[in-house]
Amino acid sequence: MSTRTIDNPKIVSRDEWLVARKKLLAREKQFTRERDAVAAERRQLPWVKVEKIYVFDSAVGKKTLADLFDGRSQLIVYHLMFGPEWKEACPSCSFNMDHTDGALVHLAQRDVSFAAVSRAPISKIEAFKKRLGMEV
Amino acid sequence: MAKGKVEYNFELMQFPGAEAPGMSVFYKDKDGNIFHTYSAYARGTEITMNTYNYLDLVPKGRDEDGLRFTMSWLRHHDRYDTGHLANATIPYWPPDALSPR
Repeated sequence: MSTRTIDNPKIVSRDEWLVARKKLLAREKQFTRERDAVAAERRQLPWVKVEKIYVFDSAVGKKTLADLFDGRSQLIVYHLMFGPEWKEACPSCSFNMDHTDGALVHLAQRDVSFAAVSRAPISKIEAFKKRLGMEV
Repeated sequence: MAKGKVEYNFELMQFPGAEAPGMSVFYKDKDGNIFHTYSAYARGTEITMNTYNYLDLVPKGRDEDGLRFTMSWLRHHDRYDTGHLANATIPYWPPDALSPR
């Protein structure tokens, strides 16, 4: 199969398109099932007990790792690249957080809390969050 | 910045910059014990960037092949109009990030 590019598309009838689409669908279904299987294997990973006390600055004072759970049993911590001397956070990490704000309310329904942590001082982080209107 | 090789993404490597992305998952039981259950780094954090899932549906795809590095097209969401390159002076963003490869 020759690789099609945006400048070199193959134009076919609707019937021919359906045949090609169904062929891809088979592979997409395979991928969906494989993704489910990988997720199941992820949940089978063993756990490691956290013995160290981690403390973070937040807009409302110091918070331990335990505090970040915010009453829920599951916590996702994202290391957002924002070095202490940087003026702003990493664009790719900020991009990732753009997708996260809308998910927070839904994650909370499934017993999941989310926290983004950075090495930058809290004043810089808060100013940056305000500029971009970030919830996380 | 760290000198020499450090462990990142579960292997020893030259650390990619002053900072690198990562995501970790923890569980807290009823007695307050905390457990680390999962961590992902590098492209392992891409799974939550839904824009890429949309781009994977369109004819041009992610369209990052001609770029100096993937994601070099990205800006903070309030900076697309000005094209302002965030952190142009720090190692993560090479000064010539906008020039073609």
